[in-house]
Amino acid sequence: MLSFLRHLFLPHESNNQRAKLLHPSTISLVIGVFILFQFSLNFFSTHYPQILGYAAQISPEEIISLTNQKRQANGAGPLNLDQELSAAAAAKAADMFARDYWAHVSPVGTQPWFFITQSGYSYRYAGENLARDFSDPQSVVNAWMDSPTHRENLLNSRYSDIGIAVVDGKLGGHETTLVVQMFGTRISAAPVVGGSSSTALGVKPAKAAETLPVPVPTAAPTLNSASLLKTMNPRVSPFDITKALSIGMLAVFVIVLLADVIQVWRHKIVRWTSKSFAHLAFMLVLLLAAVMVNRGLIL
Amino acid sequence: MTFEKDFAHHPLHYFVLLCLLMVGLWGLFWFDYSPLIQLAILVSMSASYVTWGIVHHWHHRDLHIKIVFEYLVIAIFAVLLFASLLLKT
Repeated sequence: MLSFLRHLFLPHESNNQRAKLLHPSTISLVIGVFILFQFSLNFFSTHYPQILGYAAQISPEEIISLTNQKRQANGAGPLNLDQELSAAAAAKAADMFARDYWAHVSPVGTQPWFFITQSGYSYRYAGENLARDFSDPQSVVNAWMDSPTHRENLLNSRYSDIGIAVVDGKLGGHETTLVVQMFGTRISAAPVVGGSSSTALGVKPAKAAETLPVPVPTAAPTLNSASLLKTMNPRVSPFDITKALSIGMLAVFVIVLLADVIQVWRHKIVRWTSKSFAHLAFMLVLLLAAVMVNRGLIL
Repeated sequence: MTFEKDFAHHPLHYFVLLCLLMVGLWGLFWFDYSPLIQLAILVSMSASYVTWGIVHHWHHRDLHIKIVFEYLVIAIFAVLLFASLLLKT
């Protein structure tokens, strides 16, 4: 057993003075096993969401609070929670789950502004930020702040109201937690500023409501899938498993490469060619990057 | 060939490698709000790494198909690992 581990992880006569794990054939095998594992993980997370699923703990109030903190830190006024905008955000989230899309505009052409006007909110300016698969409110707001277009939307001083919806459901066959953040300013609340509009995150600029195209009616939004998934109480996130596995594998490679470089240097082993140092540098960078990768997408 | 000799003969090669990796790492941090951009950076980084390996070993006069394969396998491993992480939704 010990000799097998030495053969696998350390340079030795048995492996031609190079750990067997670093041989291209072994790395190819690792790649094959990793692909197989990912397929299995996808299969189980799709078919057995009660075991491999995802449940975020995102409080809408905290998103609003964090948004207002960022706005105040950047000289913009705080936003007021508007129930109509929240209803619009919930309707948008329900529509995304019902039609199974991840975009500002639905596959049938429904724009975010449709949900806002449908909720009874007559806006002069409006905007929308989307996020999915995040685990906590801070990560969501940080991701929006890191993206120039989302940041512009979030800090836009033309907005006075905010609406938030955080809904669990299935998107593209996978469980997700969707965060819809809608901003707005009522027609009665803001003076006209030269007919200009705000542009952010790829959504259409919000202009006067009457200039909007006639929206295509959407299916009645339902939050049933959300409540269903909440009762399932998923325990293990596929992302966390993948991240732990990736970091673990990279750490093993880094340690084996480090051992290889040190042993070759100490024993003055002469090789036909030297590649371990380059691989070590590359793997170290990958390890650092893997540690900082966070779940979650914004749009 | 020991690593000291290799480094002494080709310090510029290792400097270029370090720059490639540092720029890539910076990009991955900077664009942490966009998994697709991060993946594009990682694919570019991996392709650059393979290119670096080929050029380095060609200069070294020890370029062999087995070496190219080794760099390719490492690059594929990196891309797969990160694609599974970044696109895991």
